[in-house]
Amino acid sequence: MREILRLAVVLASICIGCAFFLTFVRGATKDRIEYQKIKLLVAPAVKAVLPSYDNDPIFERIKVKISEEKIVTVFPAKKGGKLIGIGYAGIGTGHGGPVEVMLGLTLEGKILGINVVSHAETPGIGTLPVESKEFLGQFKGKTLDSDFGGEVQAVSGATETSTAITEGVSEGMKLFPKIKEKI
Amino acid sequence: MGLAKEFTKGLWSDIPPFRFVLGICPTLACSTTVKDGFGMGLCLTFVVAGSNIIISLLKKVIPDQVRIACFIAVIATFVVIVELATQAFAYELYLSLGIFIPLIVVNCIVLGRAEAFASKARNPLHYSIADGLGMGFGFTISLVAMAAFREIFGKGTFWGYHIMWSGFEPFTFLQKPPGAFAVFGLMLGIMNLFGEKKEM
Repeated sequence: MREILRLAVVLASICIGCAFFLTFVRGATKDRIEYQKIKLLVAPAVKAVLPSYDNDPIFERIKVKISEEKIVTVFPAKKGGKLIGIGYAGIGTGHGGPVEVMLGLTLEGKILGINVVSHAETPGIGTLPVESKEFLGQFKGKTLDSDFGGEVQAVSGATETSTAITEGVSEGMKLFPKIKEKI
Repeated sequence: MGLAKEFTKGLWSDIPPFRFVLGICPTLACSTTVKDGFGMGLCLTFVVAGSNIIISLLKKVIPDQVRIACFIAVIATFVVIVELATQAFAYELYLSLGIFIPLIVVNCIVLGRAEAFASKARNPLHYSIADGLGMGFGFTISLVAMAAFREIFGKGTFWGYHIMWSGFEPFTFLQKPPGAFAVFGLMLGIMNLFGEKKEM
C-alpha cells in the first residue's frame, strides 16, 4: 500500500510540476502567438484594403465591444498621427461555412476596398468571386445606405459565395455606427 | 568514455535515423525541404537535450515501475514548449511542420535516450546533456542531408533558392512519400557500406 502511494505521489508531483511550468510558458507566449497569427494570416488582407498609412495598424489594433458576446478587432490606419480609416471583418455564411470579409472604410463609412480573409468554399467554383478583382471592386464607394442586394452583380456559378461575401459586407457595415462611437 | 565521445557518437557512429533506424516518421515526412528538415532537427534537439537534463536530475526520485509515464510527462512538457515557441517566433515553420511537432512526444529517439542513457545511474548530468545534444545534432544532420538531396533533385532548389540550371527537369518523385523511402534506403545502404554495421 505504501509503495503504491509513493508511486502515485511521485508521478502526480512530476505532472503538477510540468503543468505549472507550462502555465508559465503559455502565459509568456500568448500575446506573441496572437500577434503572429494576425500578422501572417490577417495582415495581408488588412493592408490591401486600408488607405495609405504610416502607422502599424496590426500593432495598434483595438478590440471594440459591440454587445456582450460580440467583440470586433478594429485596425486603425493613421497618417501623421491622425486617424484616416479603419479596417475590420464582417462575417457572411457561404456554401462551406463562414466567410470572413475584411472591410476598409473611411471615417465617413465609405468602403475603400474589401478582401476575403478566410473561407471554406469549393475550390475552383466558390473561390471565383473570392479572387475576382471585378467582383470585389463593386463594393468600392458603397456606404451603409447602399442597396447591397440589388446593386451587386454576383459571379455566375458561384451565387452562394457571392451572396455570402455581400452578406459579410452588409453585416460589417451595420456595425460601423457602433464602432465609430467607440474609437 | 569521455565527455567529447558522448557528444560525437551521436554524429556518426550512433547517428539515430541511420544506425538505430529510430525516429523515421519525421525523417521521411519532414525532409522535403532543407528548411523544414533543419527546423525539425532543432526542435528535436531541444526536446531530447531538455528531457535528458530533467530525467538525469530526477533519476533517483523516479520509481522504476512508473518511469515510462514520468518520462512521457517530461517529454510532453518540452514538446508543448517547442510548439508554443515555434508558434510565437517561427509561425511559418509551425505551419509547414504542422502535426509533426506534437508527434515528437512519441519519437523513439527521445524516449530511447531517456530510457537507455539519461536514467542510468552511471551517467552523470553533463554526460546526459552531451548525449542529448549529440543525438539531436546527429538527427538534424541526417534530416538536412536527406532534405538536401530531395530538394535539390526533386525541386531544383536549396533552402528555397533556385540552384539548378534553367531547363532542369526536377524528379518530382523525390518530393513524394515513395521518394522519401527510396532516398532513405539508399543513404542507409551507403552508411552501412562505409561504417561497420551495428549488431542490434
